[in-house]
Amino acid sequence: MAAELIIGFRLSRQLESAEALAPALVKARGLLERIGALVDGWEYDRFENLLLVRLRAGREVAKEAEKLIAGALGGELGLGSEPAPPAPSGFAVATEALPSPSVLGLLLRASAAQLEVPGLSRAEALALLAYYACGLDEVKALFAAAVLGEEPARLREALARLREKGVVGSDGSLTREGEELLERLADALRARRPTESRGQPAMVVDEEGNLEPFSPDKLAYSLYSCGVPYGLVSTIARQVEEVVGGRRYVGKRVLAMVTRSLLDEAYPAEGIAERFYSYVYALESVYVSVGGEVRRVTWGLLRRVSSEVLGERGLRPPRRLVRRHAEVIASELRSLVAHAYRYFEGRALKLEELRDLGRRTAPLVSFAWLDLSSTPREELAERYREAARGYLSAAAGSRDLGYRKEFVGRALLLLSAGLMLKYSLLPSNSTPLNLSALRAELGRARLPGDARAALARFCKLGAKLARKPLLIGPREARRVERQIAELRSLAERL
Amino acid sequence: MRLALPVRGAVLELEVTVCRVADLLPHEEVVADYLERLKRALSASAYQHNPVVVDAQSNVILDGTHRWAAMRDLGFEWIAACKVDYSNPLVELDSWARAYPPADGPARRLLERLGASPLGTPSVSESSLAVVGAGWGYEIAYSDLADAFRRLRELERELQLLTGRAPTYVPRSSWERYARGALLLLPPKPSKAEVVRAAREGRLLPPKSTRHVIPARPVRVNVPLKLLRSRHLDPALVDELLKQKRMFLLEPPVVLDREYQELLLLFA
Repeated sequence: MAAELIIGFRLSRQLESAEALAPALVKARGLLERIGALVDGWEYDRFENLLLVRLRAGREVAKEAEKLIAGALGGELGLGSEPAPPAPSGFAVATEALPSPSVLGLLLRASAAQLEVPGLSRAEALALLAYYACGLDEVKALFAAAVLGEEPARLREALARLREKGVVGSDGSLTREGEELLERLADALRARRPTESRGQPAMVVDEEGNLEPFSPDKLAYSLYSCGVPYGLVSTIARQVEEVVGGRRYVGKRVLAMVTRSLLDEAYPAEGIAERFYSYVYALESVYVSVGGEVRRVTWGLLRRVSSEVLGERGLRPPRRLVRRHAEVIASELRSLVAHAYRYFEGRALKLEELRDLGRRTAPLVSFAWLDLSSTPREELAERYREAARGYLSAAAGSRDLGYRKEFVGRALLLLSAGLMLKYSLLPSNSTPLNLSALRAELGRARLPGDARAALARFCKLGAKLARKPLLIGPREARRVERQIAELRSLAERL
Repeated sequence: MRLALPVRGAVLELEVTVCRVADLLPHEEVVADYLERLKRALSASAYQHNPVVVDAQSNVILDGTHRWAAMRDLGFEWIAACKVDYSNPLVELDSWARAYPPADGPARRLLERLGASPLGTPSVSESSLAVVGAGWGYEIAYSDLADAFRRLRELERELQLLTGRAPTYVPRSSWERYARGALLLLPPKPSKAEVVRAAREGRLLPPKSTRHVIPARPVRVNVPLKLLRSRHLDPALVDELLKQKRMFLLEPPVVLDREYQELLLLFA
């Protein structure tokens, strides 16, 4: 089993969180690479004021690594530290108990597929596959069972039966019969075709315990974004859906492992499986240098950057717009990391580079942001209003339900954007978002009574019209005509 | 999450999960100062780092009474726990001897005044309530376990007054290693059945009455406290959360937040 070294430090003062250590450890990472030591992770125990760093390194460099980390803690954070050796040798040897994410992914698929081959029960088939994929390491296979949601005791019993049957030899290696059975199992797993998903989608649990329903579309988007060929995306997404289909919960990492293992098999070229994994965990591996301090990319930081960039036109960006833009920046960043993941390990972007990413993506959430670079606010507001009036007039004259809906949609977006500009708010590309920002403005701004009533009516009517489906009955169509007429009158008054 | 860990050629099965705080039973009293310190630390933390160790059968807390009490006092609904089979001989029960600076003459006079009987040090048994020094020892008679621990408390007070020091704690099973340079107060070692009975009947033993030696234990499971506050937490969700973590085996001895003499399963 792969081993890592753990070295410990007692810090001279208590820190708020492990995040605060990022600048020093990113700095140390570069120095440690030069002596052949890789930082695999760190843990900070606030109660004990204890920092534990996990290194992939030879034992002979442990002492030097300790000095380099202590130096980085002092240099970057001005933080004194005492070595806190976790074992008499100065470091503890930590042996990875679980197999690699790809192997776990493969086993998760096998477990969900309930594979059977003649001569082996389902439990024996899974035990054989787990034992083999874990490098004939029974302990590792037992740990893998925990992630698969299988009883370790059942896996042990199945392994014992495989020994009795002569599938596993007395020296622990596979017999010829064992190898043949394994070939058949691998073929059976590869031959699996996705079936229809079953019932409610599983809830995806992230590392903090937050939940969201599993979405094959979101997975497909991630696959596209990290360069998986189009033809493969829907097949992989459906296969993943099949694996997680019957579950109530599925861990985000488990999902990533299953996908990674499928990609490993279906498209082994260009390290695409690894690229996908980097895409999913991009935000955990990218750092940004802010005022000489290195920080992990957090949602808070992304929202701050978004707020600064969107605010560059002198208008207030609504909170929901900032959130949406931060998501777009994150998605771009993930894509960037996925395509160049090997360069991003332990590297820090400059804050200005992150802002540039924000500027490049700002028109995706607010086209007005781009327009405002060449047109003054008042002039742009008037232009939007004029265009909206034109669309409303076209909608009123249109008998085609599709065109009418389209014209009303355009008019609502432009009218709401024009109004937002009037109230010094940065408009978004989304009508519901603009209407919700205007509703919030109603509670904040001091407006004369009739202007307030007109704006409130516009928000209400706009939301109603925006939600109308394409196909409506004649009675409803007449109501819509009246509403369009009212909207045209409001457009004159607002 | 059910786990099987290799221990001394055998396999120890355990389950890392969450239990309702109200369902667990302590068997020892808490030390008030330490409890307050833990409560402050928990209030400032986002995670429960280490699970308490619980007997899967009886829900008696074998290790982590202070963590449990802190979380109960802070209003948590759930607590991360590692369930073990207490009847498994791999889970050993010992107790803590109280070690004071040597004070042979005064201590012997005190014990004689209290009516203790001299004994030869080799005759100290697991059920003895005894005070031993370098080459001498006294056994204190008691009627039952409750009486033994009542007398233990009195002796703790007397010996602290006599030596002017609070005790340090050393494993009772290896008391002979420490007897040469210290005055040792040896509590009787309760049986597993007595521990479970004390917990069920709510007759709590004094702090540091038992020392459970769990041959392998999970640490740093880091379950978010926000989940443990929720009234309707689904243990399956925590199971899925734990499956996302990497796991490392650390051979003893290991010093992290304290010294561990058992195999550690470090979640990261």
